[in-house]
Amino acid sequence: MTAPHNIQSLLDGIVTLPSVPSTLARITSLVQEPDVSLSQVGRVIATDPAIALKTLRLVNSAFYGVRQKVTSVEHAVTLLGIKVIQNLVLTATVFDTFHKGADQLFRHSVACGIAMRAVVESSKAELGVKPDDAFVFGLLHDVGKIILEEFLPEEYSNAVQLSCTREVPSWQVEREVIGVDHAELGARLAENWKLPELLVGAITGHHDLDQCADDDARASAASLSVANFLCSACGLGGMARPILWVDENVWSITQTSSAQVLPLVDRFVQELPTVEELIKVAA
Amino acid sequence: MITWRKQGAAVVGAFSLADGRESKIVLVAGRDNSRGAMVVSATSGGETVEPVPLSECLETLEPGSVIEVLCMQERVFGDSGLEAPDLT
Repeated sequence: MTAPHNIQSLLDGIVTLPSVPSTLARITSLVQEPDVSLSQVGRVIATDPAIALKTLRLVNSAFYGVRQKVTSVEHAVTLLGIKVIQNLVLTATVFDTFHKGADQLFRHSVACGIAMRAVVESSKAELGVKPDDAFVFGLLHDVGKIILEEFLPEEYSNAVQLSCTREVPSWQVEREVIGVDHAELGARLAENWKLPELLVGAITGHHDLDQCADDDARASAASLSVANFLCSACGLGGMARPILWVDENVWSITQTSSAQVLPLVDRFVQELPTVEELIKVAA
Repeated sequence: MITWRKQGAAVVGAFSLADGRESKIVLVAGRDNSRGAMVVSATSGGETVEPVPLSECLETLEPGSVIEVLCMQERVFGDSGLEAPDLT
């Protein structure tokens, strides 16, 4: 059977990727300027009330662990710095663009962000992903599924069902049924939004490390793969019956030994209450 | 991937150790109990050996298997609010 689509035919005729929201585009462009000031960044965020509000709620969540109450965007920017604020704006934008209720997939994405930070902070390997950036890797890794669900609901639903009945990972069935998997589609969105190359590479390869263009992308994709596996094992896989599958190379790439898994799981379980807190922020 | 089933109050998983030997893991209590997860394996001669607490034989399991075991233990016996699995 020939798969009906490739990424280009899909984007030419069926799928319209959401364009980059204006506040995120302005912030992304602004932080690349060498002499950008904190107040300039604060002013851009403040012009978008929805994003400003979500950013503030994120700053004040337990996940970010800021000890004092932050009541203004300017205060947040001064306290956390431009890089962290850029990630917060991206997170707020993803919440604003893709959240459609407390569904399983969104819960999985948030949980995976939390797991990714735990993986990055507990790994002894040089993964290339900074702890401050880790959450958005997890949050965005399955964004392609949200797009498939929106534009190809029947085909995507078939793929999910086939994945369950055949006990084959969903991305393999997506390639067979649709011709494109959610990782490829999600990576294309991240590219269009001009997100960092490392994030694009991690999304591309989080199920299939062979899709990664270089070692940096492989390392970040492998760590995302561990985070994803951890969520699925906890019943937070985003599907009724997630298939627990992981490329055997991820353990060596992330230098994760069996003994290191104990503190990793401990830490993730301790942070689980923040999943629900962040979902409330997104609403 | 570990195949899980319910056996009375315990949850039993069948899987392969890192060296390929078939093995079973028996979950009877939460992660705070050192004997809450016991590994039962056979020697290369086929004799079944005494159950060993997971924490004492971690290196005989693949990291992915350890994650599966600990997470299943948390889902069945933990108090973190994770959804309990649907096991038969």
